[in-house]
Amino acid sequence: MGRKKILVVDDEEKIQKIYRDLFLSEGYNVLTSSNVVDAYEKVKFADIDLILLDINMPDIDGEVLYQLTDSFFKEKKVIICSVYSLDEQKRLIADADNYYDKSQGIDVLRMKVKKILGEE
Amino acid sequence: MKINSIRFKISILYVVILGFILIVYSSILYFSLRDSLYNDFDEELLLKSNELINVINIYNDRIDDERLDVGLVVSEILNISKGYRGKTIVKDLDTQWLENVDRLDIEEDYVNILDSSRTMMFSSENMPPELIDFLSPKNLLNKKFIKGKNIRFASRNLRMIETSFTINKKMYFLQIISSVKPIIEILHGRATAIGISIPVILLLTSFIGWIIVARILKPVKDITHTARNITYEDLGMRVKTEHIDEEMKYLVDAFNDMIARLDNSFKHIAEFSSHVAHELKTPLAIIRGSSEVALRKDRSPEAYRQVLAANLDEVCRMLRIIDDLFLLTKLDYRPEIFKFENIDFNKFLEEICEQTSLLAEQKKIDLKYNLFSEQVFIRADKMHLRRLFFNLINNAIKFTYPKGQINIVSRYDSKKVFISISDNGIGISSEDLPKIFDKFFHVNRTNQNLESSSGLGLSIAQSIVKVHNGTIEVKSEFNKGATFTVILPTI
Repeated sequence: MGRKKILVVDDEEKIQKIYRDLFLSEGYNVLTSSNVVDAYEKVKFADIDLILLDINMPDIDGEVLYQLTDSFFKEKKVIICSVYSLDEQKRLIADADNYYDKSQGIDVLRMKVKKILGEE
Repeated sequence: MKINSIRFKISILYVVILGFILIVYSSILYFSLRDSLYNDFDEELLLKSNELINVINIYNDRIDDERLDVGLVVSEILNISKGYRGKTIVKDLDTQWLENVDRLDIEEDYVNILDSSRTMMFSSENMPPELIDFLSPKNLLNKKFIKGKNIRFASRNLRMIETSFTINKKMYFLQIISSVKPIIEILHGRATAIGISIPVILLLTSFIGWIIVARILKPVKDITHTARNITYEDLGMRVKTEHIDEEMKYLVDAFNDMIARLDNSFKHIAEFSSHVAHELKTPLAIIRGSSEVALRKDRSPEAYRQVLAANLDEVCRMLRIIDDLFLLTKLDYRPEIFKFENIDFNKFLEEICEQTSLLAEQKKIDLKYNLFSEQVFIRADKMHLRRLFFNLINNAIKFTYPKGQINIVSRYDSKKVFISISDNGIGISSEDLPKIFDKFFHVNRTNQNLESSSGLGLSIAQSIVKVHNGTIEVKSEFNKGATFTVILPTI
């Protein structure tokens, strides 16, 4: 069993870099994507375990990718990562595996990721 | 109940007006009734006195005795009626007279006869001596009262009329005095009825008025109630418009419209502040995340330097957002910050083009400008107008690939100057086009050769144009470039 694969979907390249650095050092494989179209290609073909999904993106919102993943790749986990508050995130996208407020700090995110990927 | 309330004032006004009308009306009725009663009474008295004079004449004729004193005749006549039977002079006349007395109902009346010098000759027997005194010439007998005269005597209300007659070529005066008690009673009754009915009517109408005014003013109450219950959280309340009078409906409609507008503004503000919060939260999340990642282990000074530089970028981005927000607020809500002056537009635009062409050169973009050469003046705030064109040209530079081209063209007609800034850069997709002037609208940020913008540049541009009474238009085709046209009025 190889390393778990995380896809970071965020239009903010600096955020992508932070998460990539974090999870690479935690021993995960990390893919990044700046938009929903590109991200969905990776979801389809790259054997992703977990998606860190931003909501507010230009062109197509993260919500669309969530719907697609939820419909066709139910086994893949999704953590919504946004600057919106957790309540707001739950209102926008119900039933995601977890939610993360980007301003909460990376330790919170790391714990949530580990918990979902069963490595707590 | 408040004294300065409209309801109170209207009710009081209502009562005062109605009270005034009622009092005037009742007074007219009362006095005309009194006049007609006294007139009838006077006529009756006159009839009595004429009858008496008539009888005196007949007696006198029949007796036909020049020695006979008129006073005696009169006393004879009058005393017949009192049952005096001493010196009956003429029997059949007596009988006739008694009938007359019955008919005229004269028994209760007082009768005086005065001679030509107005000396009291004779009074009827029932006449109280005090009344004779009271009627003595020095009091009031120096006048003739063909019309009635009211006399107040010993708490009795009397009325007297006086007529003159001639017997044996001598002039005499006849006074008949009668009690006006029945008239007074009628008048009293009428006055009492008026005195009671007016307050009752006023009380009743003030009550009805109070209710009617309350009904008319109900929308005001509703508005007050609604206004009082409106809070920032709930601007959804409206005053009901059913069963409301036309004039009040205008007020209620205006009020409801106002709340609707406030509602929109509040929603807009709420949306806007949430937008601002999110815009500021992104750089903060980046700063926090990158700092935390950097602190997880020891790193080389170069790695720290990179993190600090990246963080500094984000701090600058936040400051830019805040500055732009301040500017935008000033542009939209504080027009007094503008310093308008007449500027030579061509010279002004040429300067800007020269400065920005240097910026374009750095990115190897060819910036060409083709401006009209005539002097055309416009009224503008130089600093802000410069900001407008810098924003637009910088945007063009930002979204144009190296070796691209930017064209700035100006022209004018009698009323306006037209400035168009065209590029052959990435353009704007048709679904984005309506949104580009929205606050915090970003085109795809991943095009990383762009410095991150506040997303407010075009909003600011639009606000500046609006302050100058101009318009801004945009045409674009995705991947083929965009053209922004600013139209400003000339002087």
